[in-house]
Amino acid sequence: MDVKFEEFDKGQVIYLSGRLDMAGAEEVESSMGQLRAAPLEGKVIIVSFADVHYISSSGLRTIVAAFNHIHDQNGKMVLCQMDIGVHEVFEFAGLTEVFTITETVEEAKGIDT
Amino acid sequence: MDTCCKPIEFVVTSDPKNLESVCARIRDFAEKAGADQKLLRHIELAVDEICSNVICHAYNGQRDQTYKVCAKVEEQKLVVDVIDHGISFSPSCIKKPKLEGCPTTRGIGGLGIHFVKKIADEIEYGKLPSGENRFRIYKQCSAS
Repeated sequence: MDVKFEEFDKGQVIYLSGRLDMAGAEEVESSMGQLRAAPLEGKVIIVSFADVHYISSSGLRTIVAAFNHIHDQNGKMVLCQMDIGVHEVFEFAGLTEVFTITETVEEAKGIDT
Repeated sequence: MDTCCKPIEFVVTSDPKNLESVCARIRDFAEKAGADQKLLRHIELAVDEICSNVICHAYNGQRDQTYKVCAKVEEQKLVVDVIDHGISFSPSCIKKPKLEGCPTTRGIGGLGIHFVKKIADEIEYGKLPSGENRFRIYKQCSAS
C-alpha cells in the first residue's frame, strides 16, 4: 500500500494506492503520522481512491479513524474517485450517507470547509 | 455455475500479507466456476473478512499460526471453509454494528462479520471432530 501526500491551498490530498485490506490498513496507519502531526483546523483533507481497487472492513476502520481525528481537529474530510467495488463496501457499512464523496479530486477541492 | 470445478484446499500462515493471495486463489476458483464480477467481489470480501477474523481473534494477532481454506461447488453453490485451531467464537453473538449516524458516534467492531452475513446465503460455524473451528459460507451463483 502506497500513500502520497500533496498539499493544496485549503489542505491536503492523500493518494492511496494498493489493496486496503488488513495488511494495507496497517501500512496506511503508519503513514498517517504525517496527518496527525499537521494542524487541521479549517483544512480539507481529500482521500483519493483512484488506485485502490479493494477495501475490507480493516481499511474502512482506518478511514473512519482518520475521519474522527480530522473531525476532532475541526477539519473536513472528503473521499473521491471510488470504483464500484470500493463504493459498494462503503455502502454496506452505511458510510456513503455520512461521508462527502466526489467523483474527482477537483470537485473535492471545491468543497467548502 | 460449472459444477465440474475440482475442489481446492490450501494452508496459509496467519500473516495479514497472505490475505491477498488467499483472495486471489478463491477468486480464481470462483471465476473458473462461472461466478460473475459482482459475485467475485462479494466472495473475495467475505473470505477476506473471515480470514482477518481468524488472524485477529482466533489467533489474537499472532502471525505464525496456520489456517486452511477450502472451496468447492456443491449443488450449484460455492462453498468456502476457513478452518483454524485457535480461539472459538460465535458469529451469532457478534452484535450488529451501528450503521447510521456520524462515524464519530459509531463503534468500530463487528463490521467484518456483518459483511459476511450480508453477502453469504448461509453461514455455518462450529467445531470439527478434530477440534478445529470451521467457518463455512454458501453462496449461490447468480443466474446468467
